[in-house]
Parts: sequence; structure tokens; C-alpha cells
Amino acid sequence: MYDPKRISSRVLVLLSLAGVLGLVGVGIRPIVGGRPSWLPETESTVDVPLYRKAAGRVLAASRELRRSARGAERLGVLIGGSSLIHGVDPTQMDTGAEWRWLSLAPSGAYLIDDCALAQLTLEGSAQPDVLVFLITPSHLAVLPGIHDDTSTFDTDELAFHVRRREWFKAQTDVANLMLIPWNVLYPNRTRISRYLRQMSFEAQQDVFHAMAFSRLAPYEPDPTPWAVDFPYPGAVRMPDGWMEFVYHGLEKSKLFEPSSYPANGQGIRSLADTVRRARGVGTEVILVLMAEGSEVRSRMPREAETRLREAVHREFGDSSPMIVDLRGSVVDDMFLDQLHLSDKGRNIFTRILSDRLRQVLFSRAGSISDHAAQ
Amino acid sequence: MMLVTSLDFYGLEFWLMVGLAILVVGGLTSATARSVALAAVNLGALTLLVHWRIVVIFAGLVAVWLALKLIAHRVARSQILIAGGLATLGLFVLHKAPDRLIALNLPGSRGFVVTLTIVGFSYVALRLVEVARAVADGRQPPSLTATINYLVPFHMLSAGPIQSYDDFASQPGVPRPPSKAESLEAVELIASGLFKKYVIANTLQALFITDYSAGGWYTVLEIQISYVWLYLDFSAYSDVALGAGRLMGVATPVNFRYPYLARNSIDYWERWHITLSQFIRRNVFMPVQVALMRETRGNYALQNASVAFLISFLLCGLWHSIGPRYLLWGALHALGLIVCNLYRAMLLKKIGRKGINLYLKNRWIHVASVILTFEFTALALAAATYPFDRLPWWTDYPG
Repeated sequence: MYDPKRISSRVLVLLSLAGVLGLVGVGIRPIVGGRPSWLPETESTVDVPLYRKAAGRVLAASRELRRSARGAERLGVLIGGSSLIHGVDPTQMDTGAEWRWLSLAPSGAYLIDDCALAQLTLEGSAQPDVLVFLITPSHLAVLPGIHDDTSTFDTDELAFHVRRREWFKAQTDVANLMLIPWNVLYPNRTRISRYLRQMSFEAQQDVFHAMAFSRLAPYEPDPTPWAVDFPYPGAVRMPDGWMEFVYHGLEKSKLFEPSSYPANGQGIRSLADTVRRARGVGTEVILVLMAEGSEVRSRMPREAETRLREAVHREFGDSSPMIVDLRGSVVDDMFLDQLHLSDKGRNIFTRILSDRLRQVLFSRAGSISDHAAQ
Repeated sequence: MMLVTSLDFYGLEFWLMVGLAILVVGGLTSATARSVALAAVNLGALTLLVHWRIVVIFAGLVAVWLALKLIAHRVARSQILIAGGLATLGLFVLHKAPDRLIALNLPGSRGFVVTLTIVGFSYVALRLVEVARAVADGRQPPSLTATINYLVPFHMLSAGPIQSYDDFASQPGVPRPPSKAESLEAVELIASGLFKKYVIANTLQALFITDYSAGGWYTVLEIQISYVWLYLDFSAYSDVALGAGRLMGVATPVNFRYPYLARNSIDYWERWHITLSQFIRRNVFMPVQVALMRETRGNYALQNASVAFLISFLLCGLWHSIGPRYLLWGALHALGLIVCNLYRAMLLKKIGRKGINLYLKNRWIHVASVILTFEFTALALAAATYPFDRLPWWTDYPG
């Protein structure tokens, strides 16, 4: 009925192959020392599809502005994490008829991501007049393992998915058990893979630049670059247990620990570099501290904000980018989950942000140093 | 709308199932036990993807098996064939145009559409036609496990190949175990497929494919690159399926044979997606041509072949995608085949068989023909994939 000899040649071949691959892999590890030296320390966590989407948005907006009388129109770019998608409707921004607002949001909460997208906007043919970073102080945190493989086995996540009857995710959680040896042996494999994708994304821009095209030419223009759809229309609050899961993630990332906010982290260095590059092409930068629920605000260590203000002042002194603090501007009821606003909250925050930016933009030169000194 | 979820060789599941099939199915010495074990592996692989909906798929497979039995026993044969044909066509249309079903917002419609995508219903539909036709022509109906193994072979779900039923039925119940050299060849096929896809095709895509966003003169270059990329990507899937099939002891047909060396459209379709063109020849072209020849009492052979080409490739276009783009693609390929056929007949008449042999041996004509065929095929593909709706004159056109 069953004859093991029938499979011997195949098993032998496959085992030999696995052996060779294993030996090559084990051999590579001591050579690269766990983390290859060519991997930069400031890589973004934004994955290439999102970059391409953002590039398409910048490209379409640039083309539209180029077609219109650009001299009369001003371009503002909003950059931030997922809270930006929930928090601001760029089409409702009321900062004067001449202003158009473009929103770019990576799916992370990491200042290096925001800066990477900001660099992209500076590649467009229509240079923005102002870049607005909608961040929270937590964007500056040095997140342990943010680039490590996310496919780790976590019993809490498994329990959460089982409770919510998300069987597919639960199945993935269990399957991740098998990845543990790989994660131990190759802790940088996701990081390397992401970096290679990012390199190919940048290489594509170089290829087109070398062929005398715009760097953004390879990307599909977004047909509706100015609009951002609200992810959960009509939702008032996330389901029970959601916040518990969110806090679990935040605690795991050590976001509530003061030690996660060093005085001169990679995030602040990226920000400083971006501000200099933006100013080099005549684009001003404004930092807005995004609305957050009261519980998150209370749990966030004071060091997070202090480090941000200190770092900005240290890097730029009197010409620091303005910091507009809107963290407590929206009541808790308007949040889906303390971090992300509901669509009603989004309308309110968009109005608040518009009002503040309008004030700032009308008296920009004078107010920059005032706010930085606060 | 992206609904693609398949047992791709990118996923760990695929390789686990291949390993399981080698270990369990490969060692069995009884044909029945082997067929049952393989069916379990195929259903198991699908279960990993569709979860509880495997019950629906299994019920569908049982229904097909029963229908084939009834056809073989000539019980309500015409009615079953008509009803089965309509049901297959209906599911195929839902699979190819899922937005309309989803827009109805019926309970479970999205899951249903996803399930059709996961099982690769385009390919399943063709296999259904094959097996129904074979059984209606008098071949033995398959057992339940053979029905499962023929219709939903997990390693051929993503992108074929489309095995003919006769090829499937003629394979030995317990195939000879592969030698070490054959196993190595199978591994080499898998490795070359993975290299083609993840190194060459992905690099080409990352650096040079812009979905025609770049515009200008680059469009001409991109038409060529897109065609090369499609070959690398698509044939890579076939290589992996072929290699995995050989390791598992499951007959898996060859699907590509250097299509870029084709010297004309007829030659091209003997090299590109071979199992699809063979399916078309068996199930559309030949029946249509035979019917037309009967109708015209053996006259007008060239005209009849031209009509058969046109019908076959318009249907082939619609199989790829329901809409005007692939209809145009099919029409262009039909045109290529018709012109090629007429040209061959003209040459035969003008320079005779000896002259044709000399013509075929001419190196310069050969090179020019290969280039012409390449360009024609690349342009036909661009006609189906170019984003015409982005052109200003397209969107501004009234109506």
C-alpha cells in the first residue's frame, strides 16, 4: 500500500537542496553579522505600493496645478499617519480660495515615514508652498523592532482574533509559529526585503530621470488626488476589545516609556534634513500635533513632547518650524478609538485645523519664531 | 477591485501541500488509495484558502460527478448538458464581472466571488467543458476523486495549465517513481520558474513597467517590455506547476515553448499558452470548421477556416476578460491567424511546396518574420491593456 522507496529519490533531492540552501544561509549570517552594513539606519517603514500611490497623487496634483494658472494657486501638503486619513478632509480645508490641499498618509506612525513621503512631494513639478506634518510626539519614538519581521507568534493576538472570530487572521497567527526559527536566524529579512523594494522604487525614478522624464513619470496619476475617503463612514466607535488590542500594541512598542524618546533620535534627524531640503526649494514646514483622546494623552510620557520641542529648537534655533498643538482640540466622543477620529470628528478637526492654518499662513513669517519659542 | 487570493507559490501553504503530496501520495502503490489521497490534498489546499466554503465547493464537485454519471448513462443527457453549460457560463460571467454581483449587496456575494477567484474558475470552466465533452463522446465518467483531481488540482489553480481530460485519464493510476535525475530536473524547473518570476520579471516590473503612465516615446518601449514581462511572469507559474506536478507524480502539461521564436501567428499559438490553444482547437476551432465544411459540402476550406479562427479567438478573448478590450485582442489574433493561413495558401499556389521549403529556410525572412510576429503580438497585448480611458480625447468623447 505504501512504499517509502517510491519517494526516496524526491526526498533525497529536496533534502540536498534544503541542505545547500541552509548551509548558504548559515554561511551568510556570520559574513553579514546579522545586520548587513549596507542597510541604512533611517529606512522608512512605508512599503512601495503606498509610495507609488502617494507618488501618483503628487504627480496628478502637480499636473493639475500646472494646467491651471499656478501663479494664483498655492499648494499645501498634509503628511501624517493613519490619524491624518481619519482626521482631515483636505477638500474641506478652508484656508482661502487660492489654497489647494493634498493629503498623503503612510500606514505608519513614524516620523521617518512622514519625512520619506515629504521628500516625494519635493520631486513633483509643482513645489508645495507649505508642508504640514500632522504628527503626535510619539512619532519620534525609537520603536524597537519596527523593521523586524512582523510575523511573530503572539498568543495575545491569537486570542484577540479568536475572540473576534477572525479565523483567517487566527490561522495566520498560528502559521507564524513556523516562522520563529527564521526570525531568530534572519532577524533582518523583512527589513532587507523592504529595503530592496524601496531601492528598486528609487532606481525606477533614477532610470526615468536618466531618460529625461520626470522622476514621478512612472507612476499612475491618481484620478482624484485631492480627495481622501473616510475609512469607516458612519462608525461612531470601534468594537469592544479594540482599544485593549491597540494599547497592547502601543505597550509592546514601548511608546509609553520615556526611554523611547532619545534626545537625538533618527526621527528628529530625518525631520531636520527634510525641513532643510524643503526650505532649500522655498517650501515652509509646519508641525501640527494631531488630536488625540485624553487617555492616550495622559499615558504619553512628558519627555515625548519635550524632546520634540528641544530638538526642533536645537536644530533650527530662531528659525524653527512652527509647532501648532491641537492634541486636546477634540473631545473624546469624536474618536473611534482615542487615536482615530470618527467622520463627525473629522469634520470638526478639519475646521479647527483650517482656522489655525489660516491664521498661521496669513502671518507666517512673524509667527514662526513666536510659536517655536513656546 | 482586487480580490486575488490564490494558492500562489509565494505562500508557505503551497509548498507544504507539495511536500505533503510527495510524502503521502508519492509513496502509495494502490491507484485508488493514490487518487483518494490526492483528492484529499487538493481539497485540503483549497480549505486553507476558502475555509468553510469548501463545503460548497465539495457539493459542487459532487454535483458535477453525478451529472457526468447521468450523462454517461444517457439519463436526461441533453437537459443536463444544457443546464450544466448554462450554470458554468453563469458562474464564469460572475467570476469575470464580479462587480455587478457585489453591487447587488446580496448576503455572501463577496465571499462567493472570492471563492470563484480562489478556485481559478476560468480554468475550472474549461476543464468542465473538456470532461463533459469527453463523457458525452462516450469516454468513461471519472470517479468522484478523479473528478476532484481533474477539476481542482491545487498546483494548477493559479494559472493553469489546462490539462485535457484525455491526457488526465490516460495517466497511469500509479506512475513510475521519478529517478534522481528526473527529480533534479523537476527542482530545476521550479527554481528557474521562481528565478524568472521573482528576479527577472519582478525587476523588469519594478524598473520599467509604468502601466503606460510615463507616456511619450517610452510607450513604444513599454509595449515590448510588458510583453516580455508577461511571458516571464506567466511561464514562471507554468514552470513551477510543471516541476511540482512532476515531483508529486501528477501529469502536468507543458504550456510554453519559446514563444518569442515564433515566426508567425500559427507558430505562436503552438508555443504560447499551448494548453489553451489546444483546448480551443479541440473544442471550438475543429467543431466549427467541421460543421462549416459539412455545410459547404467540402468547399471554401480557406474561408471556413477563417470563420473558425474568428469565432475561436473572439471566444478566447472573452475568456480572458469580458469586455471590448479582449474582444479586440481576440479579433487581432484571429486576423493574424487568418492572414497567415491565407498567405501560406497563396505561397503554396505561387511557388509550390519546394519554393515554400526554400522560403522557410531563408535566414533573413526568418528573422524578419520573428520580429514581425513579436511586434504584432506585443501590439495586440497593448490593445488589451493600454489605459485608453486616460487619454483626454477618450474621456472627453461624448457618451
